[in-house]
Order: sequence, then structure tokens, then C-alpha cells
Amino acid sequence: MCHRAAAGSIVCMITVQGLTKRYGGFTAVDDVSFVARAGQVTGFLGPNGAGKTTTMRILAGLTHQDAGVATVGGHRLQDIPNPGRHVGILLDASAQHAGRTGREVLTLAAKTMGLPGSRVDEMLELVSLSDDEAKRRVRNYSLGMRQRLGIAHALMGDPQVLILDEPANGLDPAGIRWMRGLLRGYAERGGAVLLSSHLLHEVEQIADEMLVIGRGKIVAAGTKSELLASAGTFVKAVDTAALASAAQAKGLAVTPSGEGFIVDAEPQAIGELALAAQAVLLELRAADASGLEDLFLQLTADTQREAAAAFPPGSPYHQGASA
Amino acid sequence: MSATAPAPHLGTGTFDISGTAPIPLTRLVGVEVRKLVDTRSGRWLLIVQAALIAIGSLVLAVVIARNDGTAALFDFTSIAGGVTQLLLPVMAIMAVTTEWSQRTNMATFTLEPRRGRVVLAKALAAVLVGLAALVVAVGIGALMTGVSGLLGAETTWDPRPELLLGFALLQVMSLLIGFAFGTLLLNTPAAIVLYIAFYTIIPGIIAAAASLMSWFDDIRPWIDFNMAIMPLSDFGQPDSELGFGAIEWPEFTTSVALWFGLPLVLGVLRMLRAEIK
Repeated sequence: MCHRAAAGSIVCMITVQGLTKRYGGFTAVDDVSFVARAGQVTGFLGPNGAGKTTTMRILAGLTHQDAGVATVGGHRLQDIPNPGRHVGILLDASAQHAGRTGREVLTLAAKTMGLPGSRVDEMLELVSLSDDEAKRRVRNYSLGMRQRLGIAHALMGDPQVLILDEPANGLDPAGIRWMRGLLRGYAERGGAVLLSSHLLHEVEQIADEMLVIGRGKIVAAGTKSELLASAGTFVKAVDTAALASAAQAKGLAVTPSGEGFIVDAEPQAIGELALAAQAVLLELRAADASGLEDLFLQLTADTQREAAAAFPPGSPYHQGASA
Repeated sequence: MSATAPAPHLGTGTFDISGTAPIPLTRLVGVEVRKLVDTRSGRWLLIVQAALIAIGSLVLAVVIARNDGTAALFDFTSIAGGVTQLLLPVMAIMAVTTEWSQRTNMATFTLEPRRGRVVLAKALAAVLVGLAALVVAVGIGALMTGVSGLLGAETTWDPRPELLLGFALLQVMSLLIGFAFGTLLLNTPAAIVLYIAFYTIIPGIIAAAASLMSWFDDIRPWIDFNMAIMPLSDFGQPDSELGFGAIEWPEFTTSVALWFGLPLVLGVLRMLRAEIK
């Protein structure tokens, strides 16, 4: 994928090959392979417990894999001297000593990496933590402030690669927009970003490439438009039901979606089908963001914990009990 | 670009790490020292320690002066030693276990994934802070010897360096045993309880077992750390013939291996393999 990069082409900064991690009989990461390229934001998308965090922890050298390779810049993290200068990692913003101030947390990192104290001020400014806030203990930080601190911690060593696990968690909408801009700028300057989320809309707005993971396996990978192409075609007709059954009669998979349906076929094939069936088309287009969401849910359906009825029968919130 | 041209600088997808120097151990030790004193719990542990020593020594100074006794520097360092032998190991335990309970080990081990170096830096940092605390403790002892002199007591400044060295060795060994318990259990309360048991209950159990079973009495010198190090804790008495010369080094070595070496090896193996959550 990345080995034959020519001049000007894009370079893989994270390479994961055949990665497997088992806990007893449970396979958390199952033969996962992917790359994250320099100059791009790679979104790692999947429901909770799909294996995103385990994969990132293996990249960070905190968990040992049972099989496969996970390298950053061609090296295992353990083989990189002073790795904070090459790879910025944020796996859990809450994993900081509650009794230390934000400034102290960053100072410890700067001292470990051998950076001057001025770098701490630069990073505080970059993530918009005020002097006052930096003097507060992390115990008194909101989750959003902890994420900002964690991002400052990750960027401290001016790394070429960023690995961020659920960095948008706890950020308010303005904070999410800020982070999006920060990471975009970082990627445009040539950095590689791997960021995870369980929320599709967070990832699709920022990621150049998306990896969808479910039950420990990569179930889809590609750019948003590539994924959408595989998401099928949205169709709406005057007589939608008749066209849907005509498509089904051709052996095409049909999924109801709003007032129309999504069919696993090219628009041209559906147009021809509509002509033959003498159906009047109202809409015919590649499935859009909602299609992406359907795709995401469908790709990861096996791993979703939520059944159609999220609340057990008998609960006041159970759908059947509402009347 | 022709096919035979060398790969472009970025084309290989690797970092050039040849220009990056590894983190020197001294820097890691400096960071670990800072971690020991930059939290309230860490600072207060040292402050409480100094306060207990000062109060205990002051009481002793007054009692000696009231009874027209003789105040010897070593009387005060024994009081200090009683406090530090309990609290310095607690500090050493927390140097390891706090990172686990607060989960800062994730940040620590991603910035230095060679975990063994971090453990070594922590042990050295605990010893350095421990030695600094001992200097303060001896300073308080000297001050209080002077105070009891001012209050009218006779004073003896026993200058034997061997005495202070023995004191320091006993204290540092205790601290390192606490550190080893910390790596073994990776849990603050459990490691502190184990250390307090080691300091208070286990010597009694060993003594009782030795008096009941003669075979145990035979092996006791080889496993009883308190017995092995006794010559260092008691040799301040003026008529004492104890000291370094009275230590049985082979027995000393095996008891240290049992109480320090074994838990440390098991603990470090666990830390190297552990999944850091």
C-alpha cells in the first residue's frame, strides 16, 4: 500500500498488519490491517468495544499483541528513542494525577522530553487554557478541559504522528470545531493523525480516510466518497413500493430509508429499471450522510449492544408501554 | 523519477530516529524526584515526617534536661529513625503505586516505553529524596541536642561517621524494601499494609516460630532481615560493640535477597508485562 510511494505521493506513518489481540476466548482485535498516511486525518470509527482503543494501545506500546505488527514511522514505539518527540499520544484524558495542576502535568512531560519550560506556555496557549486554568488542579477540570490538556500533552514534542482516542469526547460544539481546525492544520503541515470516535458525524467532518471497525475486524475502509459509493443509491419514486419490489425481483438488496429506499446498485441500473417498470422517479442519487450512517450501523450491526427495544418490557420507557 | 532512483526522503514511511537522543537516566530521575514532591500527598508525607521528628525530639530534649541527663546526638537520630523507617518506605511505595492508581503510567510509559528504566529512575529518585529527608532528620537531631544543652543538659556529640553511615544504610534498605513491595502489589494500601506488617508483626512471628521450632531457629539468621540489620540499629549505645563489624554479611545478603530482591524481581517482571490501563 505504502511501500512504493513515489516523489510527491503520500506516505504511511502508521502501519498495522495482521494485528490480533485475544483476552482469554475473546478476540478484541482480529487480524486488523490498515495504514494512516502523512498529511491526512485517518478516522477510526466503530461502536464501543469494537477494538479501537485496544489497537491504539498496542500502537502506544501499552498492550502487547498476540500476533501482527504495529509500527509508527516504521518503528515499534519501544524502539524509538524519546518517542514523545516523534509520536503524540492521547489515549485517556482523565488518566492524569487529580492533584497536579494542568501546568505541572505539561511541565513533567516537557522535562521528560528535554524541552524548555517555554514550550509549556506555547502549548497552553495553543489549546486555549488560560493562566488561571493552568494553575488549577486537574481534579477541578471539566472533561473538555482535560481533553485540551491531553492534546497539549500530545503536541508538546512537535511529533510527526498523532494518535488520539476519542479526543472530541466532552468537548462542546465550539471545542469540537476548534479541534477540527487544529488537526486539519496539523495534517496540512504534513502530520499524520489517527483519531478514533464512536460518533460518525464527528469523524466524517474531519477525516480524509475512514476505517470502520466492528467486533475487532475492519469492516470498511476508504474515503468518504468511496464508502458512500458502497453505501448504495437512494431512490424515491411516485410509487416507491412498486419500484422497490421490482428491484427486489432483480435480486437487489433494498433497505427502506425515509420516504424512499437504498438499493445496492449504481444509479444507472436503477434508472434503467425504472424505465422498464415505467416508474416515475423523484430522486435518484448516491446515498448521502444518512446513507453513511445506515452503512455504519449496518456494518457494525453485529456488534451493537442495543436491540430495537432499548428498554426492557415492563420499563416505563418501553415502547409498548407508552400507550 | 526513474525506478532505480533512491527512495525519496519521505517515501519510506519511516522516521529518521538517528538524530534523536534517548532520554538520559539523569533526566528521568529528575522527573521522578519532581513527581514525589509536586503533589499534596507527596509534600505532606515529608512535612509530617519532619514535624513528627521535631516534636518527638523536642519532648526528648526537655525530658533529658529536666532529669539532668546527658543528651547524645544518637538519642535524637534514633527517634528520627523510628519515624523515617516507617514513612520513607511509604513514600517509596507511593512513588510506584500512585502512577497505577492515578493512571499516569499511561503517559509515563508512552514517553519512555523502556519501562525498566522508569522503574530504575523511580528507585533512584526515592533513594535521593530519602537521603535528603535523612539529612533533615539528622539536622533536627543536632538542633535538638543543642536545645537540650541550652536547657541545661550535658551533651555528647558522637562524631563517629560509621554511626551515621549505619543509620543511613538501615533507612535506605527499609525504603528499598518498601519500594519492592510497591512494585509487587502495585496498590498503595496493600503495599503499605504489607510493609507495616513486615516492620511490626513479622519480626514477632519469626521470633515465635524460631522459639517453637529448632530447625527454623537454625535458618532464621538467613531470612530474618531485622536480625541481620540489628547491629546497625543498636550500635549507638556508648558501650555497644555493634556496628558494621558485627554484621554477618552472608546472612545479611540472603535476608535482603528474600525481602528486597525477590519481591522486586517479581514486581518488575509484572510491571514489564502488564497491560497499562
